[in-house]
Amino acid sequence: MTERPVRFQPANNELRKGGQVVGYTDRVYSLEGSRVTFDEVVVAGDLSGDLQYNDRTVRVVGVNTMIGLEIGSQGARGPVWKGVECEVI
Amino acid sequence: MTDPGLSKWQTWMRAYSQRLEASFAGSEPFRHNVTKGESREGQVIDMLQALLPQRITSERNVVVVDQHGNESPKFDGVLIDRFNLPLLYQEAGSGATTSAAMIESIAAAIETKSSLELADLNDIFEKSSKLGHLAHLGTGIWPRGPLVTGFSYQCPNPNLSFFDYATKFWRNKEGAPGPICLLNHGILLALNQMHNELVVGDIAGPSSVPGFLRAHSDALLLNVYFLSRWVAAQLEETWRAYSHELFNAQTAFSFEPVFLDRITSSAAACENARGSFLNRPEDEITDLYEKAKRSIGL
Repeated sequence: MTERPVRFQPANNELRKGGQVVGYTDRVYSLEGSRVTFDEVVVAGDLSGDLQYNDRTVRVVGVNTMIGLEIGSQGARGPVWKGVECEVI
Repeated sequence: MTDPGLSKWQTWMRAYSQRLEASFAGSEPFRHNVTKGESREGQVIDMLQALLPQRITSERNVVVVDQHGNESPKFDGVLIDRFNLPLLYQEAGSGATTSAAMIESIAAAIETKSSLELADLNDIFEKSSKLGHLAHLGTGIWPRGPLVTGFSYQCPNPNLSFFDYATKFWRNKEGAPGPICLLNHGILLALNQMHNELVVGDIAGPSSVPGFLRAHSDALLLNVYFLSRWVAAQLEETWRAYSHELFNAQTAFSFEPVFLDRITSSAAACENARGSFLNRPEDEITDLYEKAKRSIGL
């Protein structure tokens, strides 16, 4: 590790496409390898094709479960995708 | 004389740094330690009050209280929201006053040190941990709770201070303070790993690592930036634009987790590794780190 470049822009949980937010991951994920699986993504737009996630490009290649509307203690939210597997490009 | 390679913000903040150093030296002749300490604390708090966004007010000598009546240790200063929430108490009278404030009104608590050594780091970590144990309603402008931050005028051995900071950070991430500014040396802070880069974090999270931003004479600028972004996060890109070359060029030093695991799990390994950083304030920290790793068989 030792000396490495620093990024000041805080990491966030937004998936973007063409500058627009199209989804929110349940937490901030570190993209270390060529694949990442998000436990949950709250869908806010078109998640097909190339997406930007903290300055990296990812592409959804698989989804375990899709829930139209999830009712929790904090109210309804959705659609929610669970186990979203992405390729890191 | 202005360096054409520097932004105006850098030039002005470097001038501020020099003035703070001069003022620190100017308070040296005061014989009474409390007077000296208060004078030095006051300069830092006043500087922050002048520069930071005015959604916060700075107050000196504040005890932070939670809704159960638990109290934090007294901090040299706090950045506080006086617009929406009242003080709970302010001692009347002339001279230095002590105030009590709701934890929900506090943006940041500041500890100022004349010179940063192990005992000073222990004090900052201890106060940070105690403040972190107060109950917070999750309301107010900073629902995550206050940031504890440190400022030191001098640091006789920044390499050793980073080793000590990193050790304490790794042992207790939850209680770790936010950025600690070593004037004209750099910033000790939490970093998060994101692919090839290290991302600056305001507070330490479970996957954070301790980092050393060796900004030298730009340390004060970065400290003001960190505090500004904490109190008014949505505009932080705007501030960076005023010294974008400085921000784009920054790198940070950190130890590898395997090293941190080793020195925090064995007192002997910690002592051996620490020995590599003793009396070497001018050496390159990466060289000292290699020596320290060898000393514990890594």
